[in-house]
Amino acid sequence: MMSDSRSLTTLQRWMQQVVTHPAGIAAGIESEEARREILLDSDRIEQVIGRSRSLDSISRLAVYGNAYIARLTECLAEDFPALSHALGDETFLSFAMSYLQEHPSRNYSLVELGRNFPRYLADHRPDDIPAPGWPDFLIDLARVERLYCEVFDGPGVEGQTLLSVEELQSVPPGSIGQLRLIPVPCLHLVELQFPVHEYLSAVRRGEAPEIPAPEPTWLVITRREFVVRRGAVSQPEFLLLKALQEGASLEDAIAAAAEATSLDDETLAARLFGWFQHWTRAGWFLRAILPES
Amino acid sequence: MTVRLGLPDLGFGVGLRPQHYAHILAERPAIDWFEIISENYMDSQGRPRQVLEQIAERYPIVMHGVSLSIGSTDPLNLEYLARLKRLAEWTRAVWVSDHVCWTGVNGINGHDLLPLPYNEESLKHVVERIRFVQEFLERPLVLENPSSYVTFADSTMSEWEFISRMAEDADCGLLLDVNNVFVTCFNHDLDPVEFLRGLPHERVVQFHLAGHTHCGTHIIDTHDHPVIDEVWKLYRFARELTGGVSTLLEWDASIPPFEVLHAEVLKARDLAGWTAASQRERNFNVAEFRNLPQAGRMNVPQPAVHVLAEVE
Repeated sequence: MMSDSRSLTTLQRWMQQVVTHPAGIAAGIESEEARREILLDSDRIEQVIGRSRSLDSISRLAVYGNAYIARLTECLAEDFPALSHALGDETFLSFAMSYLQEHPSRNYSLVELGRNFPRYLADHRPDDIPAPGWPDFLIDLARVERLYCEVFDGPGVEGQTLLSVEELQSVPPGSIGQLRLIPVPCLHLVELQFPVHEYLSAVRRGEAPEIPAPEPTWLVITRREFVVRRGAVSQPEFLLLKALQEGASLEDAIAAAAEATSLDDETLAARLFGWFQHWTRAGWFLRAILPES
Repeated sequence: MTVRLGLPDLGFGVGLRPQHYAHILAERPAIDWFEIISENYMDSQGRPRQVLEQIAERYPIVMHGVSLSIGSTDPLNLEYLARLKRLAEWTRAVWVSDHVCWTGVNGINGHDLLPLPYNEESLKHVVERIRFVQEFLERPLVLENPSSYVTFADSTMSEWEFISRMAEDADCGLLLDVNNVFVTCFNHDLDPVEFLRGLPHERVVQFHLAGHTHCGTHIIDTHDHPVIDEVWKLYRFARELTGGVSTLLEWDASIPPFEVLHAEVLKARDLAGWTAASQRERNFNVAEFRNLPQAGRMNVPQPAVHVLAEVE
């Protein structure tokens, strides 16, 4: 029997509250949010949802409730395999369900589902555990796994000609300091408290790695030939790359890196050639620009 | 070639899934066409998009969406529609389809195909939105009957009556998922033959076939098994009623090698009386995949298709 006062909007708002309730269908029906839409006790559910010959109405709604949790937590586990491994299935499920309560999907694509997971973990980091501790390891893992997803499906430079060592060498020595290097759009620089990249790779290989000891780690994540690549760099290298990525000229970037590290200008300069060779071979820069004089 | 709403009979295709990218690019299998999950490619700037570009050069592509949410009382997402339209133009999609369902309200997407109460209010709402979408996309929209697990006290008509009136009023096409008819009818104690007879057959432009999971008290549309015999019988009947249209096999969980999918859809071709499958295509035994282990995995109703990152 159709209720005169129950619109499609009301029914949809009610059903969404019920099938996404973390404590299950009966608790969803009794929740304040659902009762705001349709004032109903769970034993009167057949006023809204019919039963079948073999299944009662609550069990039928539970197909959607179970599917909501299973589908979305499974999707998160696929995007964060190392985090899932580190936490174990049960704890990961608990984290994922809490995350979905706080950050339900608001996008048409499942690719976006895990976007806020690293931030969620950081927001809920226990205050009483000194850093760097296990919560920081989990946050670092989540940050890198999310970046892997974004880099994999984000903008890339496949098919484009990238900056070469020869091109850099052709710049007149007097102008090289003014050079600005344009990084590829898929280049991401991330500073971590744990060397999570090795742990991550081991999990993806199907191994069961130990949680590593904390160690300041500077990671470059990028994409070549449609596959995500990652590599650790030294702190001065990272700072130099960061300054270049932010648009500094080469001489300003070198000065900033030298100032922030214990390396003197001379030592830094001596290492530069090797670094640039590595960076260009790895395809981290699109081109070099000399400002017009 | 049968033409409905100006749309051709493409023959027998399968759903394009990332697990089969390498095989398809290397082997160029003799499949008639592919159906893609629109949302997996709309925003991609990486591997999925690059693979689709190559496949679209060689095969007809049909776009099948899971997030249009034509039945939701939230406003239609115009940004989504614009991206859908761009992808359809880029892939030269032969048609664009989605489901008679809603996926969420209040801005939330539950990524499920939730059923509507079948009544006048829902009908008016859905018809208006289909008309808008068709004008926006500048092409007919093709909508699929979903598998469902609940019925509403607010329903005043059968699903087939709702779909028939919706298709006529909105002048849209229908994607008849034969497995969904079987699943829905089992779950709601209905007769699938009556369901099939009650549809406007001239508006059906595509069939879907898939496997499901029988839980005793109900059936879940898991797309993780071969098509069962009862569904094949319904498919044969649906072909008789419609005269035969493009047929697509979906397999979205416990995905077997491409050859297995190919062999399964060739059964449909045999049933349709098209050229018999070659011996090589028949060497793959679909029955072996009937009872694949489901370790650690719940029976999740589709859609659950998700592209995973490739990392060095």
